[in-house]
Amino acid sequence: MKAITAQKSRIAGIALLALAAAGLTAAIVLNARGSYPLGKLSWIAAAVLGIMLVAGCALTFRESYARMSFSKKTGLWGIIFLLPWLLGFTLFFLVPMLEEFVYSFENVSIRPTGGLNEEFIWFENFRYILLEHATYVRSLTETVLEVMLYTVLIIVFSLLCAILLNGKFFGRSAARAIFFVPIVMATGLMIERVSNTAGLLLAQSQDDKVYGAAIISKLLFSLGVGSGVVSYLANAVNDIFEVVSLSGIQILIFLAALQSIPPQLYEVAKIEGATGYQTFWKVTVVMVSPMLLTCTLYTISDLFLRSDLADTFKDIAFKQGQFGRSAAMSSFFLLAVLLVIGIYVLPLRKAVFYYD
Amino acid sequence: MAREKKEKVRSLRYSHTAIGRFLTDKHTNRSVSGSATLLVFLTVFALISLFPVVFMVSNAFKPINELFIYPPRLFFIQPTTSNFSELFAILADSLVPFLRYLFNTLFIVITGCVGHIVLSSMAAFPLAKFRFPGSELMSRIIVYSLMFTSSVTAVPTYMIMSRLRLVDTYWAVIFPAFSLPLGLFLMKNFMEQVPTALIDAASIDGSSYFGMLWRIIMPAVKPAWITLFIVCFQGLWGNSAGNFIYSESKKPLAAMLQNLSGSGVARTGVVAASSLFMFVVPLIAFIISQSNVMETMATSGIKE
Repeated sequence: MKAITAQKSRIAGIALLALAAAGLTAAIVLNARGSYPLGKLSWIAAAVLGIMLVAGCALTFRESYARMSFSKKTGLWGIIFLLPWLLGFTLFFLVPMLEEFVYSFENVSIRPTGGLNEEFIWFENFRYILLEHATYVRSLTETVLEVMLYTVLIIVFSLLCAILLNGKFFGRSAARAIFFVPIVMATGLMIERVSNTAGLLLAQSQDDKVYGAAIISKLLFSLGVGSGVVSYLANAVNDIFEVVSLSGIQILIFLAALQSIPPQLYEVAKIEGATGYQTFWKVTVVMVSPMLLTCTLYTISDLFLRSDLADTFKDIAFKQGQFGRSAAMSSFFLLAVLLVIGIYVLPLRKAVFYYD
Repeated sequence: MAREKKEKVRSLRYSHTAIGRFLTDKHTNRSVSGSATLLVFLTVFALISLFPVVFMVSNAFKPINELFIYPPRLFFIQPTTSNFSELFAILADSLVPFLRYLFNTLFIVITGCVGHIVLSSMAAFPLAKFRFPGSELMSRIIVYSLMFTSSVTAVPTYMIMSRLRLVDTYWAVIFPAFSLPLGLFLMKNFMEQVPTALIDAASIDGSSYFGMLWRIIMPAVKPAWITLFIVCFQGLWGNSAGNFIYSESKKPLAAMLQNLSGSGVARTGVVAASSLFMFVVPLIAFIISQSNVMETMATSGIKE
C-alpha cells in the first residue's frame, strides 16, 4: 500500500516537473523572440511555474527525503531557507556587479531603438578616467585618505560609546536613544535637505557637508574670535560631527557584541586581580575583536559609498550617458575600496580571536 | 595594590551624597568622578548629534526673512507656521494628490521592510545555526558583499530591471531592497548568540524547521529585526527612486519633495517645513520601536 502511494507520488512529481520544464522553455523562447503574449499576466504564470517546480520536487523526492540522515536534512533545509535570498542577491546584486565590470571595458551607448550598444575597447575607459578626466584621480585619492582617517576615528569612537552605553548610569536609555538619532538622520536625502537649507543660508559655504561647522564658525566669527582659531575649531567640529553621525550602526553592533561577552570572563579577571585597564585590553577588546573586523569592513564600505565620488558615477552614467566610463570609474573605485580594506582588514584578521 | 585601593576609596568619597547617588543611579559602589566624566562626555556628543535636529526643527518655524538672516541663528525669533500652510497649499494643488504619494511611499517601505526582514532572517538562520557544504563560503561572501551597494551598480541594475519589465513599477525599488546583505549580516550575528540548546529542544519536541525559525529564533532576536526594520525603514523612506520610476503617479513622497526643493529660493521655507516632515516620520517609527530595541538589547543574551 505504502509502496504504491510512494510510486504514485513520484510519477505525479515527475509529470509536474516535466510540465514546469516545458513552461519554462516556452517562456525562455518567447522572451528571446521579444514577444510577450501574456502581458502583465506573465507574473502570475511565473508564480504558477514556481509552485509547480516546488511541488514537483517535493513529490518526486519525498521517499528519498524520508531516508535521509538528520545532518543531510538539516543541510537541505539550510539551502532551501537560503534560496529566496540567494536568488534576489544573484539577480539584483551579483549579476549587476559582474556586468558593471564588463561595461568598464566597453564603449556603451543607448540605441535609438532601445537597448544598449556594446563595443569592446579594452582599457580605453581606464586610460580616459586616469589620464584625461579632470578630477577623478584627485578626488579618488582624497576620498581614500579621508576614509582611512575616518575609519580609525569611527571605530574608536563607536567602541568607546558602546562601552559607555553598555554600563549602567543615570539616563542610559535616553542616551542610547540620542545616539540612535544619527541613524535616522543619516539618510542621504535628510543630510542633503538640511545641507541644502543651510547651504542656501550660508550662500558662500563651499562644501555642502560642512554645514554644522560652517554655522558654528560663523557664530564664533561674529563673536569676534580670531579666524585661525575659528578654522581649526571648525575643522575639528566638522570631523567630530561626521564621526558621530556615521557611527550609529557601528555603536549598535558593538553594543550587541559587548552584551554577548560571557560575564564569567570578567569574574575570572576580577578574581585573578586584573586591573580595569588589563580587563579592557585582555577581555573586552579580545572578545569584541570579531565584531571589530566586521565593523571596520562595514565602515570602510559605508564611507566609500557615502562619498561624493559615488554620486559622480551616477551623474556620469545617467546625466551624461557615458555608461562605459562610469563603469570604469566604479570598477577602479572598487579597487580602491579593496585596497583600503586590505590595508586594515588583513592585519586585523590575524588579531581576531574567536571564542568557541 | 595599596595605591589602587586608596584611589578607589577616594573615588568613592562622594558616592553617598545626594548628587553622588543621582549620578551613579543609586549604585553607591560606583565612582562618582567616573560617572560625572561619562555624563559630560556623553552630553557633549549627544549635543553634537542633536544639533542638526534642533536646527531643522527651528528652521521649519522661521519666517522667510529669518531664514536668510546673516549670520544665521540657531533659533527662530518670531516663530510662524506659514511654512506649513504654504506646504499644505502646494500639496493640495498638485496634479497627483498627496495621499497618492503617501500611499506609494508606504507601500514601498512596508513591503520592502517586511520582505527584507523575512528573507534575510530565513537565510540567516541556517547560516548561523547549521553547518552544511557551502555555508562557510556563503558567510564569507556576505561579509565581503557588504562593501558594494546599489549606487555603484546603478546602470546594470537598471538593465536587469528593464529586462524583467520592472522599470516604472514599485518592484524596481522593492526587489533590490529584499536582498541587501546588511540584513542578513545583522540577523546572522544576532542569531549566533541564541543558544543552540533551544533549537535542539524544539527539534526533539518535533518542531519543523520553519517552526524553529518563527517560534524559537525570531522571538529571541526581536531586537535584531526591530533594529533592521528601523534601518530599512529610513533607507526606503528617503529613497526617491529617481532612476526607476518615471510616472508621476507612482513616485514616492521623497521624489515629490525633492522636486519641491529644486524649485528655487522662494520655496526655502516650504523646503524647511517638508524636510521636518520627512524627518519626523522615521523618527516616530523609531520612537515606537525604540523601547523594544533598547529594552530587549539588554536581555537578548540568553544564558545557558
